[in-house]
Amino acid sequence: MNHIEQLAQRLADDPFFLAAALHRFAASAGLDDSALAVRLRCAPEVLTLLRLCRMPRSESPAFGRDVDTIAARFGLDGDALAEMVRYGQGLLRFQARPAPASPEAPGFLMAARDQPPPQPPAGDSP
Amino acid sequence: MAEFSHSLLHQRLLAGDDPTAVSDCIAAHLEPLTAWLLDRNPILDPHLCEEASEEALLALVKEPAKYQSDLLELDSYLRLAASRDLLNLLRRERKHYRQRIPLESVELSPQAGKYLGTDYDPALPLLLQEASRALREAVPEAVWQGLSEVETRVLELILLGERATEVFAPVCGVADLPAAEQAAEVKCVKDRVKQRVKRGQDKR
Repeated sequence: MNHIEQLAQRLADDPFFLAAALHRFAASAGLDDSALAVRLRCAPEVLTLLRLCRMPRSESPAFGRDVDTIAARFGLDGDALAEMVRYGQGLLRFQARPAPASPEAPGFLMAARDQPPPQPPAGDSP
Repeated sequence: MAEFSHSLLHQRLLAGDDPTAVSDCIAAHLEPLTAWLLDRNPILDPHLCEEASEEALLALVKEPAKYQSDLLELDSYLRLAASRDLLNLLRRERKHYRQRIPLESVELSPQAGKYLGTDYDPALPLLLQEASRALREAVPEAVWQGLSEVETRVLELILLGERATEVFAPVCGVADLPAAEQAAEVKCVKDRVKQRVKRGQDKR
């Protein structure tokens, strides 16, 4: 692996770069580089330069413009790229959320469980 | 084919509407910058040089406004930034190394710390010299010669991408003034220095 490929891999945790979204999508879908390239309809070598692009802005219509620019530049399937980036960005946002600290905190989920039947108050028995 | 002219690349980074500009900039500069750093620092671990050139490039693509294209060519700026990052990496390594040495090994050593990282690093003086030379070469020598001590320090900070008034204020001797006056004084010195550099480069 050459220097620029190593750098592109290292940036998988930096949300400034497209590498972060692609990495999360690929990991979630269980795709290696070859399979990722097939989905994008490009050669695997293109993935390095693709990872080094700035992350598309998440708001519309900038998102569409950014994805189109990248897809046109590298001859990719724009729809596939948009899907990967949206999915990857969603995972990044989810991972960036702080974990809820207590049951009172918003977002805290508890598993449903059977409650023991309520005990009758003392003195109610005949 | 994409245009890789240095100034055009910087303009694309600044405009911020082309996500491929970041990739183009890294692809155009990473290898030459690393090669330059390795060539100038043959005694160092090559991984340090690679990391320094990466850090310099990543800083540029994330904050392209820090590079002032009217003062320096982009590759000169990157060389300066990479030299500075290399120094910082070496200092960090040195500190880490120092912390890992058990106290008794320093005390019992016949060298008494001389070669155990307490105050000696054979690469550091060379590297400091190299960073200083890279800084010097970025601007015509005649310009440096014509600057006062304060102006020299201000120019060094500008070349290293510094923008914060609070960093320039003590150098300019105005740290005790109210913030607005500090900003005005610092701006005055920076403008004067930039004018000198511009005139010096026009004469080249």
